[in-house]
Amino acid sequence: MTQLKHANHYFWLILVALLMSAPILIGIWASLLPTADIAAGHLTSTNISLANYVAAIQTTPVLRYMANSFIIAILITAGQLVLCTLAAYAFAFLDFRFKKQIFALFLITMMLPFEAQIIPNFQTVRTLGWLDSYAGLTIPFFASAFGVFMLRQAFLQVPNELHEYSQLIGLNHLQFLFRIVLPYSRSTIVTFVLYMFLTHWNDYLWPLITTFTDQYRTTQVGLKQLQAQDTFSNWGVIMATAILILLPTLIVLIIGQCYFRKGLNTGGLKA
Amino acid sequence: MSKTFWHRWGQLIAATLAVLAVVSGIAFTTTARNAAQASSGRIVISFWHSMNRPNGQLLDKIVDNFNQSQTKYKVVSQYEGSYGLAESKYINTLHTNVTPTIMQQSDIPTMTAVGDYVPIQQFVDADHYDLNQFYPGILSGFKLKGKLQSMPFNASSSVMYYNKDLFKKYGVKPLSKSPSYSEIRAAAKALTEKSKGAMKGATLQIYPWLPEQLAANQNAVVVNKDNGRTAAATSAELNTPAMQRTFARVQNMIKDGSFQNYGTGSSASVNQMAGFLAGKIGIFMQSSAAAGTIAKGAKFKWGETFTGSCGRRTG
Repeated sequence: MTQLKHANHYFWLILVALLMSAPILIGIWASLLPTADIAAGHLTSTNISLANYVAAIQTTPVLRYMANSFIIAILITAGQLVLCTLAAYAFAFLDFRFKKQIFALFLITMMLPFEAQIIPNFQTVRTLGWLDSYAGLTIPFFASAFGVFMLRQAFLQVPNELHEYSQLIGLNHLQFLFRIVLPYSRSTIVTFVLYMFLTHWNDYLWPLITTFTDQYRTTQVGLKQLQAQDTFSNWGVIMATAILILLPTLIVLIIGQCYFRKGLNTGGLKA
Repeated sequence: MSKTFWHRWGQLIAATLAVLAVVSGIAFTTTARNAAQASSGRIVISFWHSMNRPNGQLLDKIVDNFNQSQTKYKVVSQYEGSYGLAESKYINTLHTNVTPTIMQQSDIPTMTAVGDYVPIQQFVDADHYDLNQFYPGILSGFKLKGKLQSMPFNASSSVMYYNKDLFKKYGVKPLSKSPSYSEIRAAAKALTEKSKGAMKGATLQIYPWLPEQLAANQNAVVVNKDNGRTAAATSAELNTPAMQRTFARVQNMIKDGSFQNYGTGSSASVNQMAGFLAGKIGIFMQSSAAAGTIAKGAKFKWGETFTGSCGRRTG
């Protein structure tokens, strides 16, 4: 009886899972087919090969795009990690005047969507001569209100006894941060890193308006560029490129899955 | 007192300085790159263009050949999207580190509106370049008050493309060299009806250049002051009899049910081309520059005619 119930549950779960992943599955399948078959609508074709992937790597700058995305995502993540950790530490453990007000100010910037900041940011980066460069692509993202908030919530869970103990044995702020706070909040830190990496790997709007050459284009913008440059004739190659771009995201997700669950939950548990 | 201060805050200050160092490091390499590009021995000429697909590949080949032919200049060509997109990128980045040296644009009015460019006439005069090798008709299209504003590079004209195989399959008479509007409408209707809805007879992309061409074909302008050539245009003349006739014709084909609407925006022309190449469209109007794409992608016989006329064409 329960077995039947389970089978029933799994049947529906698998059905919905297939439905949800259909676009990706169709994409993977299409990336293996010759473009002529895709254009003619022969999705059941059996001319499967990796030719599209070979063509994508040989004839398009997709590897350059991916390298750029890696550099940008890693630089931003590293920058945010340092700045957000320090800021969150201040909000969690230090006492200073207007602390609450300043923290509220931080949170307010979260309400402001990035799209609203694009014009002033663009003007700044343009005036600095940072258009089409790693500096222009990364530095505007170094400060993150979300990151400060998320890490502050995690740091607040460090038991006060540990803080007092560290003061008793004479640890200074950075020693306390590195030896106790960071190890204690490890899962949040990992989640934060993975989350920021994924977010900036997938950045679209900002790289779109600040990159002008293939030397600095990122994957998402590059994919659009490939599509605009050579659409009709090469759907197979475009699908192959899209799947290639998807791979790092999938790897990060698979590795970080358990952390994602743990980390994103902790923020909401205790304030 | 100061000792405790450093003891407590020294490391934090050091960490902050480290972050600042990283930031300025990234910023510095950026600035250094720009300087290095200019001092690599060759003069870098950045070139923005809007040529994609086979035309873009050909352009890259031309640029490569030029770069290999000499060692003084290095042209860096970069596809920047459609004419419209490239234009807005140009306007938004004027006088910055990414401003191109040379840019390909579709027509004079857009660039005169931006204003910030050097008319090619200055270089023609300085080099005593012989302009007689160009067709006078094409040359006049790039002139403003007798002065050449930009170098004719890829002058294209609007044409109609049609799928000869589909015309044959459904027994429709092929289009003539310069088809009249009624001929196009009849062919589109016949194709749609005989294919029993498997395809649509014709389409016209929602793109300003096309109605402009259709109006020009009737000797009409779209803005005053002779399309802005005698002086800066001050008003649009869109609601003219010529434009009304143009859209009435599209409307007629829509009423016939033989018109496919591919919408507007950046994917409209892509979808239109895909539709034509997949044999879902009989006739469509596009720049003669699209011939390369069709030649490469079409698995059927296709034909090219002059832009559809209304029997009033004078030229």
